[in-house]
This record gives sequence, C-alpha cells and structure tokens, in this order.
Amino acid sequence: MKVICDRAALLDAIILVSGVVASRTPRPQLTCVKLSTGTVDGAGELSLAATDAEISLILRTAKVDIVEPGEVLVPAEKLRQIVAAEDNEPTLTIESEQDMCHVRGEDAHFRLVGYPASEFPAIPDFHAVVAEGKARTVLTIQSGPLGEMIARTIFATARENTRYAINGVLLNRVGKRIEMVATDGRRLALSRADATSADGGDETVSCIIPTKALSMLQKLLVSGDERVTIAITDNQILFAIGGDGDARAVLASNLVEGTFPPYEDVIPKDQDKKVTFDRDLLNSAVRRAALLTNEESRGVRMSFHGEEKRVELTSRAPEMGEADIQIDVRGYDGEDIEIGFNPHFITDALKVITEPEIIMELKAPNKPGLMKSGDDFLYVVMPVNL
Amino acid sequence: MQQWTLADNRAILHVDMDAFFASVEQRDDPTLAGKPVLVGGTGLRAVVAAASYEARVFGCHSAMPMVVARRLCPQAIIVKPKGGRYGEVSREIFEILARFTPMVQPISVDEAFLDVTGSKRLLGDAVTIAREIKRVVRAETQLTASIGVAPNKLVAKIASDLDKPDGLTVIRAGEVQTRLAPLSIERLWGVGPRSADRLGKLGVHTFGDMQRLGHEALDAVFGSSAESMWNRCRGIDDRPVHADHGAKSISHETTFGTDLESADAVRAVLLDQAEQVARRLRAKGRRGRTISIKIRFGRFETITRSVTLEQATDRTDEIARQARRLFDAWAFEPVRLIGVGVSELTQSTEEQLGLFSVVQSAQQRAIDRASDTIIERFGKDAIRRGGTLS
Repeated sequence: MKVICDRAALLDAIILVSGVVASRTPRPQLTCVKLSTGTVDGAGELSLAATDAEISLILRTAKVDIVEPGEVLVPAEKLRQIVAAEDNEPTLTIESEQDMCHVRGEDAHFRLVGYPASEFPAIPDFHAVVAEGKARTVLTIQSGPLGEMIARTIFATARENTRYAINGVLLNRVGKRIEMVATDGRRLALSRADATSADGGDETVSCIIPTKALSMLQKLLVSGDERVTIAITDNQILFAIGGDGDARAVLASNLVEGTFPPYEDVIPKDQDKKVTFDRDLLNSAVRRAALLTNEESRGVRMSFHGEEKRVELTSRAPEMGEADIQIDVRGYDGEDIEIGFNPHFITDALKVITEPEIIMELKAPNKPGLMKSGDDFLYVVMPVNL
Repeated sequence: MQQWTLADNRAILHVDMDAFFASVEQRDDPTLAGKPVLVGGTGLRAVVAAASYEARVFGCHSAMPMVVARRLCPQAIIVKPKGGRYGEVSREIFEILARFTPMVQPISVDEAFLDVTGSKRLLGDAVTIAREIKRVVRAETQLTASIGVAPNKLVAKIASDLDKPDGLTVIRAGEVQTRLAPLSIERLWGVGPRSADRLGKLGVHTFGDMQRLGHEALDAVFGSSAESMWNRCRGIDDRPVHADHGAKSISHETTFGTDLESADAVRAVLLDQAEQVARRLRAKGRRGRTISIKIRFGRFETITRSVTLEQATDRTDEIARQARRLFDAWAFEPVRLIGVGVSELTQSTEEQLGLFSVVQSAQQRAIDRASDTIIERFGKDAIRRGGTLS
C-alpha cells in the first residue's frame, strides 16, 4: 500500500478512531488502527478502522491520493503522535512493506513496526448486516435531534459498574418515535425524537447501548443535519453517519445484556404541585445554594411558597456555614412543600434544557420530583432525606 | 474473696432514653401525648421500631411484628419512622452527655455508658451526676431517660431497666450480689430464651439461683462461655467504657489458627464481620463511605482492597455485598487472616433516596433495626444472617 494523505484530514480521523482503540489489552492488534484503501465512484479513499472488541469505528476520507492499493495495521497512538508532530507538512506519504509502515514527510522518515492486517478482528459491515437481513430494524434520523437525545440522557447513566444494564442508555423505538432513557438509580432522564423507518417496519424494538459508544457517537455527530442510519441486530447496534451507502463514519457496538429497570413505573403520574421556573433563574439559585454543601451535607432544601410564588433554597454544611437564596417562580399550582435535592442532579438537567421555561412537578418530600421541558424531555429525580 | 481493685471504685452510668422514637413522636406532635403510639411501617412484614409506654401496657414492644402489635392494641396510633429526626435528637442528647464526661460509649442512638469516675471530684458523686443528667435532658429535650448507676457496665445496664420510665436506680459495690439475687435470670445479658429454658429445668430462675448453682454446673448449659456467665451472674464485669468518639474507621478482623482452605468459609466469616462492623456503625450513629477488606494469605502476603461508595452507609447488606465483591475479585488462595473495615465516617443521616430501591432499602433498615434489638437483648449469637451458618 502507498498513499499520500492530506495531513490535517488524516490527523482528525486518527484522533477520532483513537477514541475506540483499546487502552489496556493483551492483544496488541487492538491498540492499532487499520488503514486500507478503496474507491468510491472511481475516486480513491482511505479508511481507518479501530476496535476494542466491543465497539468499532470506521472513518473514510477522500483527501488522499492512492498510489498503490493495500492495507496496513499500525499502533494507533504512535501514528497519531507522528502525524501530529509533522505539523509543517501539508501531506504525508504512508507506505507499507510487509508488516512495516513507513511514514514520510519532507525531511523525515519513520519506520513503524506494525502487524499483518489479517490479524485485525472482523469489524461489522453496515451494508452486509442490512443486506443479510440481520437487522431487527433499520431507521434514519437527523444528526441534530439524535445528538440532542444523547446529550439529554447520557449524563444520567450510572458510573458505578455493578448494575451493568444502567451503565448504558436504553433505546426504544415505537413506530415513528424513538426514545432514549438513562438512569443511575437516583434520577432518570428520558428524551424523545422522530425517526423514519428505512425498512418499512414499525415494530417496537428496545436495546441498551453502552455509554462509551454513545459518547463516541456524540463526537462523530459534528454537523447539524446529516442523515444517520441506525441498524439494530440481536446483539449489536450500527450507526452509519452521512447516509448509508457512502457514510463517512460507521460506528458499531455490542449491546449491553441485561434488563433495564422498570423505568415507566417510576415516572410519576399523580403529581399535585406544579411549579414553573425561569430556567436561568433556577439554575443560578441552585448553583449558589450548592456552594454551602459538602460531602457530609449534600442536599439543598427547597421550600415552595405558593401564595407568594416564591421558592427559598437553603443549604448548610457543618463547620462551613449556610446559604439562603430566594427566587420568584413564574407559576405555582398546589400546596406548599419542602423537599431536599442533590443540587447537581438539578443543574445536570438544566444544562441540557434549551427552553427558557421549565416545569417542576412534586408530590411529597419523599417522592420523586418531575422536571419537564417541551414534549420531548422529562427528568425524574429522587429527593434527599434531609 | 475478690481483691480490692480500682475497678471496684468505678462509677458507671447506663443512660437509656425511654421509648425513644415513640417519645420523640409524642413530643413533636402533642396530639399523640398520652396515647398508645407505635412507630414503624404498616406493611405486612413491618416491625415495631418503638412502642410508647401507653402501648406497652397492652403488651406491645419493639421488634414485634406490626400486625401482632396492632392486634394487641387496635387503638394504637401508627407513626412512620422519621429517620433523620431521631438522629438529630440523638445528637442533642449525646452533646448533653459529653458535658459530664468525655468517657461516653454510645450503644445505640438512644443509649450509652458513661464512666464518671473521673468527674466525681468536679461534679459531685455518681448519683448527683445521674440526677443532673436526667434534669438537663428533660429541660433541653423534653424527653425522659432512665439511668442505672453501678460499679460496672453489666450492673448499670440491668439497673437502668429496673425502674423505667424516668427511673434512677443505684446499685453500690457492696450490694451487687444481693440486689441482683431476686432478679429474673432473663435480665442477664447472654441468656436467651433457650438457655433460660435449660436453666429453668435446673431450677434456676433468678440471679440468686444461678449464684447458688455454682461454676461447674454452668458448663453444661453455657459450654465455653460458662466462666464469663458465672462472673456475670455475680455482677462481676471489668469491661472498660470505650469512648472511641471521633473514630476514623471501624473494622473487624480475624486470624485463623489454620488457614481457611475454602472460599465459602471465608465468605461466611466476611459476612459475619460485615454484620458486626455495620452494627457498631449504627450504634455510634455513623455511616461510612469507604469499605475495605484485608486478606493475609497463608504465604503471609497481605493485601488490602477498598471501594468508595457514592453514599455513606451503615447497612449490613450493603457493607457485606461490597466486602464480598472485593474478596471475589481476588483469585482464591488459602487465607490466614481476613478483615472488613469501614472508613470515611460521617454522622450525617442525610440520605439520597433511590428510584427503584425505595421498598428494599426501607426493608433492609427494618431488618437491621430488628436484628440490633435482638442482639442487644440476647447477645451476638441470638440471630445470624443465613450466609454465616456453615
């Protein structure tokens, strides 16, 4: 193989694929990126592939001149360092000689020890999966709404790795709607968007996507309205970004096995207190009250006074001090209530709400709070017993 | 004849709040005053956490299934326990106790031993101190305490229970044996229903009966603990008051005479240790975030592994689960020593509620509470988790 690459485009691609390369593994091939040449409509292209055996990513770039087709497997991190360091070069020449990979600039020649390309694990091929009928469903969605759904849920996933199923995000497809749900057992975020069926089917499909795959997908969704095609098989999900035939990126991931907790049961339906907030005002108040919390005393007490349409936020950290913040609310319907929340759980949700107004619904100090914004986002948060 | 030692000059107080949870509820809600009150859940498996004295008249008591208590006293008012509230009041009470001596050993949220031997010169004799404690507790919290004053912990604890509620019972060094003699043997710490039964067959119903029975005859009933039971029935107890306030961690470890060759055997010990550590945490009103285990292998290599939780805990099941995970992550080899510890302790009772575990967590707390009550009454071997039996 011998290719002449645009250095900037190559560097961008290597940085992205490096995100899925395995960091610690007994198989050195999994720390590599596979470069291979191909053609689309008669023009040459270079594809870069990497996998950690759970998640795989293939990126394609046309900013390349193919002198001799072929493929090569090289350590991703070293290649990234070289391409990043050759910052005076507009182009770099990459040439394989058996398992050795040569990278040449104007005044430099790196010989990088690689592996036979055949030792790289097989990576799911989007076309093959769809063509062979392995997909339970194939749908398309615009990159904007998809990225927003991910941002509005991924923050609520569990960090602790004991309950495997909630380390991922649940994806439900019901007819033309898809929803994503994430929870860490103390709060739950749900976001919905429209999708189009690409295979004419409208059956209900559910799967759990690992958090790592979705955060990778977030990085790939750069422009606002690119078409993303999603194929879900029994144990994998594949995303083709930028159409399906000529997708610039294909991300595939194993699904998380296990049962997602019965999230529908914990979305409260009989809240009898409804408060309308100015988002920025609430955000500022919660952040200020959070200043006087610590490990020992993490909760912020919110006292809702309906008559005066006012909320008082108080916090107290032993041996540090206390805070008392008063804000007005836009609307209040229901009896007065006092309830404690982890302030970070509230601000986490406010960060992903774009609407200027949010609604908080409550029932009792030991019952969940429900935050809503528009029709496509809801957030359930359990209180703190102060 | 026992020799005259410093120990006999000790002045130990056992301070026990009267029907604590129920009294707090009655105080906070005046409409409950003078009425039978049961604190606890209302589910099928709920257990009474506390019964007011008005409810005790009907035979209700703590650790009894709620359904039974409601049958005994249908007119009782049932109040859901307010976890954080009792912690707050408990802290007020311990703050008061600390004014009298730094030697305060918490036994649970509402009970403590005090060694006031060193306070006598400053504050007057033990009885004066006990009266003053009762007065201040009542004035500042509107709650009553019963206090036993004695030369040691064993007798002080028995004494505090003799005149409840709002009692003050003094048993002096010279009168320990005679004052204990007429009391039912069931008041003796370590005598559960089964040994009471066996003692009954020997004609032993009181401390006096047991004192007359003699040391050797107790072997048959108590086996290896006969020696300590013989001392206990004569009111002899030299355990010090442990005032380990401000403890940074609580741990429990065991060294085995011969290396444990089976992972299951080690797991059973771990569970028992987790139970004990959790119980001591609860007794001190503490929770801890970091759970660690220590393993020494037969070849004398020692490792410690720990995990830090999102939220501090004092729950037996949680501590046991984490300890077991840490242990299971390690390839098994014969074990010489195993230990469980909890550190990064906090007194905070703040609790983040869970979306899916509300019921489970409340149940686990009820189990812990009931098991603490039983162990406090009948001793450590009276109740055990299934996994510790082998």
